[in-house]
Amino acid sequence: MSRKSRKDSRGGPERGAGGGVVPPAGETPPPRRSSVVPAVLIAYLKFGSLLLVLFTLAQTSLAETLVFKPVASGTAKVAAMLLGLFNIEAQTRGAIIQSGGFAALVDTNCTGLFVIFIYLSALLAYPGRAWGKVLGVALGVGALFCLNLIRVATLVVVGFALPDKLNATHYLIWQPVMIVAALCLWLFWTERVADAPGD
Amino acid sequence: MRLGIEPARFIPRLIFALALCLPLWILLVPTYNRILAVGLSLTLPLVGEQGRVGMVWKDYVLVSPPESDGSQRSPKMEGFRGYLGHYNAPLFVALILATPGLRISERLKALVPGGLVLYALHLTYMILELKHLPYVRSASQGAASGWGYRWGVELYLVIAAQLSPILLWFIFLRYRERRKQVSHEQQLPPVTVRKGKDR
Repeated sequence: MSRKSRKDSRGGPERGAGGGVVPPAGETPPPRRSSVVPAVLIAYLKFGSLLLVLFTLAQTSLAETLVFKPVASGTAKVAAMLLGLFNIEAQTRGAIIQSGGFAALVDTNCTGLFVIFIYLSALLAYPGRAWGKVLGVALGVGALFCLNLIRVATLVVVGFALPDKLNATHYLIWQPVMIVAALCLWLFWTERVADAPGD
Repeated sequence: MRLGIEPARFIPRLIFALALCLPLWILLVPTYNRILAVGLSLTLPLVGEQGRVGMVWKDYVLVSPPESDGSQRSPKMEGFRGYLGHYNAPLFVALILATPGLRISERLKALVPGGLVLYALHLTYMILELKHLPYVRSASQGAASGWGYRWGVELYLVIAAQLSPILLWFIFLRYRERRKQVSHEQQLPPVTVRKGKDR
C-alpha cells in the first residue's frame, strides 16, 4: 500500500474549519521536529567545546602541577587506606602505591579526571535548571571519584595477585566500566534530576 | 531532547550486557588484532608506507620497518598494544544489546555499520600514530613541533576512544527516533490549532 493511500484510508481526528485537525481539548500539538533538532545540535556543540577546552587546559603544566599531581597523590593515599580496610597493607610515596612487592604509579590518566571531564561537559551542555546541575556535579563527581578509588585499589590487588591479568583488567575492564559509570550517572541525571525546560 | 531511555530499565541491562561482552572480548582480542594487522597491511601502502606490513605478536599489533635506504642502520619495527585503542568495541556492542525495545534486525543494523566505523577508527589511529611517531619522539626530547601530535594522540586515547561508542550509540538512538517521528508524521494528517471561540 502506498503512503498516500494508507494516509487516506486511516480514520483520524476531527477536521477543523480550515481543513486542519483540531486537537482534543486539553491536548497540545506535538513539538515539531525543527524545534528539537537545533537544541540537540547546540547541546552537542556545547559538549564538544567544553570537553576540548577542559582537555586542552589539562595538558598544560599548570594543570599538571596544581590539579593532576595533588589528585594523583591523594588517590594513591586514599586507595592505600581503602586496601587497609581489607587488611591489605599498602604504602604510598607521592603518587606511587606499593603493596605485596608490587608498585604502581597513579599517573594523570589514572586520576579519573578525564572521565569526570566527559561527565561534566555532558552535564553542563544539557539544558536544565541550575540547582539540578549543582546536584548533578556534586553527586556525579563524588561517585566517579569513589569508583576510581575502587579501580586503583583493585588494580593494585590484581597487580600483586595476578600480574599477567593486570593489563587486561586495567584497559579492557576498568576503562569501559568507568565510562559506563559516567554515562549511567548522566542518564539518571537527565531523566530524574535535570528538569530541562521543554521536556 | 531526552534520549528516551529509562535508566531503571536500561542500566541493569547494560551492566549485564557488559559483563557478557567484556570477558568475551578478551578472548576475541587476538583475532581482532589479526584483523587489524590485515587492515594495516592493506592500507599502509595507500598512505605512502610501501613495503610495510602488519603482524601480530602476543598482545601487540606490529608493523614491519620501512625498507632501509642505507641511511639508517637498523630501522625499527613499531608495535601497538592492541587493546589500548580498541577496548571501546565491547562497550558499543553492550550498549546496542542493552537498548530496550529493539528487534534483532535493528540491533544488527546498528552493530554492523557501528562496528565498521570503530574498525576504521582503530586503523586510522594506528596509521596516524605510525606516521607521526617521529614527531611524538621529537616532542619527548623537547622539541615544540610535536606538541600538536601528542595532543591529538592523547585526545584519541583518553577522550575519543572512550566516547566514540557512546556517540555512535547516541547517533543510532537519534536516527531511530527520527525515523519513528517521520513515519508517525506520514501517518497523521497535518495538525493545526483552531483559533477563535471553540470552548
